[in-house]
Amino acid sequence: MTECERLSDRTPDIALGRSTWSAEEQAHLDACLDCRAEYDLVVMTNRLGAGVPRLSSPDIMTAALLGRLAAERATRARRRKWVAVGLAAAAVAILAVWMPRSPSGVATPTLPGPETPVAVLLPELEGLPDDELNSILGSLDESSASSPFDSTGLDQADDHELEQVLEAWEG
Amino acid sequence: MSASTPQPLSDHALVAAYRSGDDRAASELVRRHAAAVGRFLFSSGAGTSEVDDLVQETLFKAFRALEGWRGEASFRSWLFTISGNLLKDEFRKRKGRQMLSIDDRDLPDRSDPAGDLAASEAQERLREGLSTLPRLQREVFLLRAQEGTEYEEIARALGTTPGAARVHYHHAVKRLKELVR
Repeated sequence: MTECERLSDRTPDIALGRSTWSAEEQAHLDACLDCRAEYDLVVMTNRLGAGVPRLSSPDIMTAALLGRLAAERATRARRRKWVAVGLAAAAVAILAVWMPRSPSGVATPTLPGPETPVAVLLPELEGLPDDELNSILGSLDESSASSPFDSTGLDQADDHELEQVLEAWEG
Repeated sequence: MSASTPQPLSDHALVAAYRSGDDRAASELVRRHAAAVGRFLFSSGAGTSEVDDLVQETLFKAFRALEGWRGEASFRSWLFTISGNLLKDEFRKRKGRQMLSIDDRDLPDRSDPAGDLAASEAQERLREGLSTLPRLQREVFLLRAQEGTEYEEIARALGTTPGAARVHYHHAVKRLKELVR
């Protein structure tokens, strides 16, 4: 490393007042126009930074920052809630589509039971917190898994069992 | 036996405190770094009327994405990276046009009008010169000249190597010396 490179590495610390030139370095600086120009440039850059125009006080800045962050968090929470409502509505719609139909093409009415919470009133969902909405979604999943419309296993049923299932569907 | 003064919390500790719900930590981080971010933005060519807004935008973006700060570079360097991105967007909006209003210039002191005017003109040339440098050169130079940041840390903050950062710094010095002379 040349003396010029060594001084170049030291220049920012000297310009920032964190260190001082040694006598040898000062002698080099006095004789070397390039090093002197670099030092002057760095000093001028620091002065340039000192001319920053009126910034808000840190307290005002912090208050504005925390206010914006809180507002954004609230917006995000609202968005999450609507996504949950949308998912619940979608689940209800999927259940409705999957309902078996009678030969006349009319959807077969189902017997309301403890595990078939299909009749969820959507407007009421708006007031529910996320965890309750998630539990509703969970129960929808469970009910669809255990509903009488579950066709898994029908392949193995004999004719008598199939008739029983049809009777159950048709009431 | 004298009571030892408590060490100020590191930026890492303050970030952790903020993330666990302590708003005072945010206040301390703003107090520590806002002015330096303002210096960086102003030196990089932000207009007088833009600096305050850009500092606040930088802080907002940083706090919103604190999970993204892995602590490889210092918090301040990370803030500079964010503000550099914001400024780049700002320049793009202006389509490269420099908007330096009359109050962007340092008013000369009346004690030595001629000398101060020359210094002010040199500073203005420097500021304009900085805004014409390639972004990496400008940011390396400002991190080094205004903050005394080591090349290793600059490299981590700007996603380059220490050797490349050194080269960028020397290119910037060479170019700026010609412009300011």
